Amino acid sequence: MKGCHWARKNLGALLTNELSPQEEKSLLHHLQECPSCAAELKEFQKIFEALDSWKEIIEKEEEKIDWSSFPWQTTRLIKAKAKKKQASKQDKWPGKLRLWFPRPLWVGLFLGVVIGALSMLFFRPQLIQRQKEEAPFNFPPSMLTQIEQNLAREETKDYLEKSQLVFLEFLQLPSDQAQRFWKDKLSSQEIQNLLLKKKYLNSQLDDLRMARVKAICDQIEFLIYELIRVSEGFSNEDVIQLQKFIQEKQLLLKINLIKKELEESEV
Amino acid sequence: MKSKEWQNEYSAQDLLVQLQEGDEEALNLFIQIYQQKIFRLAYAFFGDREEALDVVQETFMRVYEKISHFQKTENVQSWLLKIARNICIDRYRHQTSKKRRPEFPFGERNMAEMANDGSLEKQEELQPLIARALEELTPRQRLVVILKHMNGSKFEEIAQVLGIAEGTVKSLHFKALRNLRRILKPVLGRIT
Repeated sequence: MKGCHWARKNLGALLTNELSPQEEKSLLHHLQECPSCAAELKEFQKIFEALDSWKEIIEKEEEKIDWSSFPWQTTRLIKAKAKKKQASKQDKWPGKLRLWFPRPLWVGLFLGVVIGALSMLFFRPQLIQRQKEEAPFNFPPSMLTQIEQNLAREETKDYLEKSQLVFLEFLQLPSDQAQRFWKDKLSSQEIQNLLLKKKYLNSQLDDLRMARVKAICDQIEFLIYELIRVSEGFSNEDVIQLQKFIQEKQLLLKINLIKKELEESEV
Repeated sequence: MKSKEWQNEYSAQDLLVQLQEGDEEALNLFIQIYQQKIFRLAYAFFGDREEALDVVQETFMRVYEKISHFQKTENVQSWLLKIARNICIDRYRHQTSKKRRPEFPFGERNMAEMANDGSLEKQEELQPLIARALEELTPRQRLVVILKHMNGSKFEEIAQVLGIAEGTVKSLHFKALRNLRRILKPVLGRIT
């Protein structure tokens, strides 16, 4: 004989005549033997009756509805919905945009990025501006000064070298040719460039506080101008005397020393 | 009505095939056949007429949308009730997640009080209590009771609709009846 567990599970099937003849026989036999299961069956019968009465209520409720027009209304609603769905498929969002744009997560992320960027522009514009300003020069100021100094030194060295060559040329010339040397030089491009370079160097030497260098450069400039001015009326003797004077004053040597100092950056 | 529906079983299948082929008039006829059956299920599940009518409409909408999934070998009624079952459970979950359903007003003590003070003298007075008692069951137990007692489905059919074994359906039915008995015990004895 099958146990109470099986019997109770099949009480509902017994009450609705869904058991096979053999199962029914077996269950009825069990109910005769087991008062507990038999009592359970009686309780279930009461509930079945209660549920049947509830069914009547639902059927009464069902009768209140106009079922003849309901299918037509529902069909119309379904067709309208299908039309709407089809229209939404051909909406304004083209192709790929339609795939991701209506998704709230993507929209949220997109808006977050846009708002973040805009708020950064609004609250920290000086940051972006500063970056813009500083962008072409990423060197510290001390380094820039150093570069300027080096450039000025190079320019000065060049000026001194060219001046030295001019004086050397003058000293080596025989007196008759040396008489016309400065007059000829004045019109030459070489001496004009030299004098122009000196003007350019003035401001740089002042800024960089290279006083000794500036002094010698000034002397050279002054000397050149004086020589050009007075050289026209010179006799051979005057020229020789002038050449001796320049040699005695050791101008070329001084220029050399300054050049060396500049090279060693000791000025 | 019930016999008429069973006679329509074959024609219902034909109607679905016609609907698959694009004949929208077939839907109208199909609704006529099954609308009340779905209503009974939904009304018993929610105990609310408007909610039940919404479920009926939504069920047929889903039939229209999923008509391509229907296979000719399938039992039409089981397929349809499965759709209705899913809609009922979805709506139930939606309701319970959005707001708690009102507390069961006829708790065991209240029912006992009502039985003792003689306020439950008639069978009709028990009916709303049954509706409320059903709300206390789990959705699966409730569906088994409704399909069994309101729609008159067999255990085998219920198993198809719920997608579970027939033995499990019987167990669920037994548990549901026991729970109903526990809830309705104070009043059941007073009803004549």
